[in-house]
Amino acid sequence: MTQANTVHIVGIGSDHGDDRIGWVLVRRLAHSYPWPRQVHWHCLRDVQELLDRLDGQGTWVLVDAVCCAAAPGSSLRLTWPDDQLPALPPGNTHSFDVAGVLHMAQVLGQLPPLVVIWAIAGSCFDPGAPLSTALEAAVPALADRIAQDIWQLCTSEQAARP
Amino acid sequence: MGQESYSRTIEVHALARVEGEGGLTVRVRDGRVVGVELRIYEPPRFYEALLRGRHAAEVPDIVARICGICPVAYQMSAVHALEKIFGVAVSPQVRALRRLLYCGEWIESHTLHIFLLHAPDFLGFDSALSMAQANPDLAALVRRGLRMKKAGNRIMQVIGGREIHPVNVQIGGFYRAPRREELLPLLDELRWGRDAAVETVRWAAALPAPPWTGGYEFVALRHPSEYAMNEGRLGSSAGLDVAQEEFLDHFEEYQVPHSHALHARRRGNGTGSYSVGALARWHLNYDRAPHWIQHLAHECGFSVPVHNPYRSIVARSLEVLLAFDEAIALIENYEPPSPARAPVTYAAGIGQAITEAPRGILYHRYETDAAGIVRWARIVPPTSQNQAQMEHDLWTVAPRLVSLPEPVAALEAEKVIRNYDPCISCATHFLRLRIEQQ
Repeated sequence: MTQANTVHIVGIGSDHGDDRIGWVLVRRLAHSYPWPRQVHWHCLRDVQELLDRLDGQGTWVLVDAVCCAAAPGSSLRLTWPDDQLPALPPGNTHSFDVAGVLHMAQVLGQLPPLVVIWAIAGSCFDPGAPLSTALEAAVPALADRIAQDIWQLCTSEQAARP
Repeated sequence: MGQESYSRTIEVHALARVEGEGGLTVRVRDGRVVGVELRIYEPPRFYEALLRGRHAAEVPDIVARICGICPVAYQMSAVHALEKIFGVAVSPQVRALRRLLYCGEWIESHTLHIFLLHAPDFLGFDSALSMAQANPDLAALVRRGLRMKKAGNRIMQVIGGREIHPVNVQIGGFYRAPRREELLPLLDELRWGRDAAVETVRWAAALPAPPWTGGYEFVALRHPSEYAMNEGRLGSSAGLDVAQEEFLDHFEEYQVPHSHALHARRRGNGTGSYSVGALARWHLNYDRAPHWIQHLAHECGFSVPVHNPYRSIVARSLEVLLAFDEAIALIENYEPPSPARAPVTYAAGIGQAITEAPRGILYHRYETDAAGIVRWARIVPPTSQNQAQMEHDLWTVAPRLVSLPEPVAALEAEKVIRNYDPCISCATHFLRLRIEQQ
């Protein structure tokens, strides 16, 4: 069970090109800073696993690649719910996307009080491809930006504690 | 209009709540249905060609990539076929561990379909999400389904190395056999799952199913003593009883212009369509289920024959119960295979095998050379085999659809397809219904 002041950082991705950016950033962040013990790190391949882990507690930061028109390596920080996340289609296939998982978590009472989503624009999602040069170059700056966000979230969690 | 003839096309452009991409067209002329087409337009993936020239040892991991929902089925049919070529006899412990892995896949796949994809059809919702939003009881139902699915996923993870596309299966056994203490912690959740599965059978059996007339030839494996999963002879409700190696003597694939997936037909049974999957398996194997599960089915009014495809949800629920029950027994009696893999000597030859994927029989045939290189591969997935039967079912309901408003007709047609839990990605991913009035 998640403690109320726990901050979970979740990299979502796969082995395919820029889709691995969530894993790359989470692994780099986890080993680059002396984080407080309240921070927990996760790398997920299947976003449905997130539904298993969400238990209505803590703060969750999701880092995931997006395929969009923005320049590779550009980032967008969203707080759930946000109109910029895709509306759930009326039907689904055998899997959920991030928005689908968060919608379902909300309906089932498993949605934590705060979910932050870092969407990182990628350019190449070819099977088995390495991270693109553009994203490789953007990793240090992205890691710094997300690290600052996590520090602020940890600080506000600690401040909120009785 | 008056005396003039008219035509109408009912079309579902992309089927929802199925795995894969497909569409559906119903053509109507003067109030009469003149054409039904289940169109699978997902591009073919050429896995059989991709396997040629690869070493047999690579096959289980390559074929697992065909499907994210039933990778174990692909691995099992492949290793069984290749082991027949190389004369490999696996140990009883390996056999039991493979069956446990398959139980995990049946639980994971069936619960996904029952609770998230199929249940909304019976309860009048467009998705599991809207179902869960409707009231606390339905939210609890979805929560139960997700928890049951997770129990199946855990089996896959512990034995297969991960929940999707497991990486631990090889010819002759496993790369690493889990220790007993790795499996024992699963028991509490599996015991909860078994109780939840009993509730699920009762719930599914009470769902309203539209009336249905017409019969099927059900085709499935049948084993002398077990509910068929990994082994058995090929049987049918019409009396077929042959070795797995005779599959191609009795069934043939053929191409239709409107689908990227090959159809299959039974040689010499009229229309040739036949049905595979949970309903077919239950028909041919219910007497192999534990007596208390047979009794539960009977008590719930689910006694064979059941020729109503809408009641396939009950057959799937019974198989979930069976898989939980069997998984518990297999873990309680688990002895790690040592070694984890029987020795393999590669050889030239031809091997064929069928196992029971969640959606039905999955046939693999391989030809290898003396070095174990695959020279030819053939895979006949269950959704391909069910396509003709799905079209046949649509012919049955189509006259009822023509007078309905378009969205209602489209939904009713989609329900017919979802009865089969089709995996279109396996067969070659959504369905669209079009009714053409000519």
